[in-house]
Amino acid sequence: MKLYKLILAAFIFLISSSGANAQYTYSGYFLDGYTYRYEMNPAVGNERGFLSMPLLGNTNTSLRGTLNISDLIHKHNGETVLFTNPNIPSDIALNKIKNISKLSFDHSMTLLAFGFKGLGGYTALTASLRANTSLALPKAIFELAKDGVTNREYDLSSLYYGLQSYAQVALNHSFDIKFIPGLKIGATFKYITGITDTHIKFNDTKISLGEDTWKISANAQLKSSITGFKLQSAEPDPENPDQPKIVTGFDSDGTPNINGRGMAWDLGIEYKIKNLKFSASILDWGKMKWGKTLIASTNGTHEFSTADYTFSFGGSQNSSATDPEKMTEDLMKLFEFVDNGQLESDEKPLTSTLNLGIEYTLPFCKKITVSALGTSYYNGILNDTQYRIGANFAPGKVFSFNTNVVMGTYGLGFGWLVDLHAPGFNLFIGMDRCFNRLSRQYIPLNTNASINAGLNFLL
Amino acid sequence: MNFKHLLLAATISAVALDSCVDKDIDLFNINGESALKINNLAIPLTVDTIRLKDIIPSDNSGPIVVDTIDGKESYAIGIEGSFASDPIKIPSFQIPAPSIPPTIGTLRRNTLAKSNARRISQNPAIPSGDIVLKSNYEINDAQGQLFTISAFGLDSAIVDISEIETAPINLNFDFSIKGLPTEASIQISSLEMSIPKGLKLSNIPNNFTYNPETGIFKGSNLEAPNHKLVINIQASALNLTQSGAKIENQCFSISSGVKVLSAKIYAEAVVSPSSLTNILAESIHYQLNSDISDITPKSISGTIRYRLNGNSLNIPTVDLSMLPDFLAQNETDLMLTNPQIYLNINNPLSAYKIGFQTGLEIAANRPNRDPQKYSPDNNGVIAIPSTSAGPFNFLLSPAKTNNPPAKFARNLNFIPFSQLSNVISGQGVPNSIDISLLNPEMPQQKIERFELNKDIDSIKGHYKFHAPLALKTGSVIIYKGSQSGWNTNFLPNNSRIEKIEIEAEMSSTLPIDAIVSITPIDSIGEKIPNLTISPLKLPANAQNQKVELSIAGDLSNMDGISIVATAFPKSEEPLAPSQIIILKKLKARVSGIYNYNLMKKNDETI
Repeated sequence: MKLYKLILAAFIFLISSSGANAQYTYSGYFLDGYTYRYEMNPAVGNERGFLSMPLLGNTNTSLRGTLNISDLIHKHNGETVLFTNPNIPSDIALNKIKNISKLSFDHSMTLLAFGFKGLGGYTALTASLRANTSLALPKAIFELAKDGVTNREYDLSSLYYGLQSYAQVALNHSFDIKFIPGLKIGATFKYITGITDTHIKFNDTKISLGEDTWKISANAQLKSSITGFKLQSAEPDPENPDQPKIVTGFDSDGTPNINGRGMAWDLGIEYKIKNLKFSASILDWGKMKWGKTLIASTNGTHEFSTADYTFSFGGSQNSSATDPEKMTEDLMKLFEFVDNGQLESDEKPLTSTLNLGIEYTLPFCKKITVSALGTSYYNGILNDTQYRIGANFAPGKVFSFNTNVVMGTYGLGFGWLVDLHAPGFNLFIGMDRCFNRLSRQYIPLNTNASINAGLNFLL
Repeated sequence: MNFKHLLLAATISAVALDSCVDKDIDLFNINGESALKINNLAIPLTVDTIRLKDIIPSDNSGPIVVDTIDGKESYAIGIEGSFASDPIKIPSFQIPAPSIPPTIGTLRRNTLAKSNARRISQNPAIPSGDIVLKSNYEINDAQGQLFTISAFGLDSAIVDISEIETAPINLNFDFSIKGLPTEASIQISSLEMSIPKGLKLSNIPNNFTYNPETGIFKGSNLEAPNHKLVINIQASALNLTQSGAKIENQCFSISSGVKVLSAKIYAEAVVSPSSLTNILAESIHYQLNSDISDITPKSISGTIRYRLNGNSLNIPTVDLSMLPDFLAQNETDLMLTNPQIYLNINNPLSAYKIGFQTGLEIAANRPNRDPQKYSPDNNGVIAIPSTSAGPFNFLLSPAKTNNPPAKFARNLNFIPFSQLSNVISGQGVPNSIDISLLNPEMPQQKIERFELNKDIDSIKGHYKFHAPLALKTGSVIIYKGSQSGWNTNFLPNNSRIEKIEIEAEMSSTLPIDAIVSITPIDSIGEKIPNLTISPLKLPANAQNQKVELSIAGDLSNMDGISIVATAFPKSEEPLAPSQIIILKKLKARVSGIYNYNLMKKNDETI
């Protein structure tokens, strides 16, 4: 498949793989009237109770990435060309591509939620689905495509693909600490049922094309916790039954089902002093115990060196001479996955998020606040951090909106959220990141965008 | 919020959205032309030591064999085998018995004497009145029969015969007297006959003599009971010189005869006086019946010239078509340093003191050309002496060698054959060479008692054509080859190699210099023009010498390569399986570009 189609397919796959690692609408973090602030900071409860519209209470879809379509296409002589076009100099073509290009597609959907004031504070119960697909591509892949093969080292160790989905029920409660005026704390307990969890990770994979030796090392692992998912392998050799089973494909015998359970806590705090409001929260602090988990790997790091292969001329009888086919086989074996069987369970921590915020209410206009929010998402190679500075407007009791500027791992962006919270009714829509550049066909040229919308009934 | 507000918001949104559109970016019309460049990419290769034994494999079944030359295993064109003549045999021939008519002649009475018989005999039974008559007879004229003894279809090897040893020849003569009364007694005083000359009689009756030179057969005082004398004699040999035999056109003939030359007979009879006048006639007759048996020669002495025959004398064609490719191309011209032909031949005829000889000719066969023939200097022949049974060893080569194979080393006779070095020289190595024994024969020579019709062992010999692959100065090995189909099979479509460099450190024990020129060719096999090509020079006996080959230019139409490797011998050291080429730090450096279009299907061309 050609590179373009490969990339396109990757995008389509990402988009079609609806899943849900929580992606919250941070444009609403400081926004009064935004019903789901407690999901980002459990210490922040609503002023009023609510009941979500089933399935439509809070839907968040986001695409995040450090690799944009605009990074891969260029304008040349009035034409749209690819970065691989020979007229695009290498330094320009690769300039925007990060050392590790990250792409992540997240989707969360609230099935049903409701909240109420009481029990000494604010309490909310939320049932939701979340899914996440992520991909990390080392720059070396793009360098190979653009510059061709040169005598240098290509590090593919960051190559990663992950897919995760689960459902959760979260019970939140927040309350004021009476003896410390202005201090609120809150916590959310989450009970999680896992659906799918698959990761393919290349840990130590390098192609070193030296002038005197070419060396390739590969170390990769696949873990998959999906009900009904099976690895296919060649029939074992009856004379050598202990030999590793090489994975030749996979199969699924049904719809994914619940395959794991977990618990997590969200903890939050908010402290208001005069016009300043400080807040902090940690989300998804817990772990999942996935059910049966298939494991396939390269069985450690395998190395291939051209120095180990000796070719011969003239049909040498020399036993040390290499059969070119054997060399090819050995090269292919580097990337062979061996079926390592399955774990009955696989326990792993959830990817947590840390939020630190500060909000300042303008003294001359209490309807306007300015805010700053730092968010760090801890997910190994897909770690990201973003800083968001925004302004929150609440001109009336039924309408508020936020605009913000965000910068961080995924670059600079613009976010907004409009929230209508008329009596009995709450509708919000917003984007943490806007598509800031579109093609002639209105196709976004960047991969950073999210959209959040919801319909709830205020009690 | 009223409709106006919504309209305003929508308008603002539309304007804002539109301001984000980059109309120069048309994702539905992307020019997918792409290029993957390879710039001086060094591809390291580790190659095994290149051993000549891998390039020239030899299972010693020929034509390339590994032989020990000067104590070192070396390559040689080596063909070995044996040859043999048919069993040597000169067939016998039969000389039919001559048909000899009886010889009849007259005897004349010379004297007649009368006397009283009683007085003479004192025999009381004889009446006293009887008379004893005595008479002597002699032949007046010699009488006889001439005849010819002949045989046809003598073996062509027989040039001349001086003597034949035969199965016993029986000569029977019945000499009878007719015309005397039965009561008369006869005694042959003497009898002289002429019979065939040259006979070697094995039994001569008493009172007879025979002179083989004259053929005179004489007897005296012979009893002739019943008036008949029977003579049986046997001959075991025939001296053809004495007998005056002639051998012409494989025919044998002797003109001879049987003749009664003289005879004296004494007759005596006792008769009554009344019949005195009729008893001893004045003339009487004799009759000679002669019979000579077939002559069956057993051996001959004389002169022969015998051509050696036999399919086994044909040395099989030496097939050189199985030579390795790099030696067998049309422009290769190989001059061998000191090729050798060894012969080891026995002499089963030494007991007859017969020697023989053969010439030798080598023909180099190339397609569509007349065979090129080579013979020893001055058309020298291989002469096997008659002195012993051998075997006799011969070496035919441009120069003597100090280390002949053990099998041929004893009493090695050297026959100069200067042109042998050039046997495979010319435009390409011959497809085959024929080694032929030329006119093998026993030359015309005297023989003694050579047995006829006897299978004498065949002449047997071994040969060895041994040509060390040591090349003379002036030899050149040119290998031409090509590999094509890269553009369709090896290189991706629309790929172009712009430069190829191959570099290595080379060590070699090969005694030849080589220049390898690699020329890129297009899909129709034509050389791609306007290229800068630097050939690979591989010096003989190099030690860690840097060697390089480079091809630069537009190789976009490259579909393969044409290889021309030219090798020149630098010494007369033979090629050996142990000779090696070691290439260290071998790298191929490639620069090129692969053009492709990401927006087109695979089967679309750019």
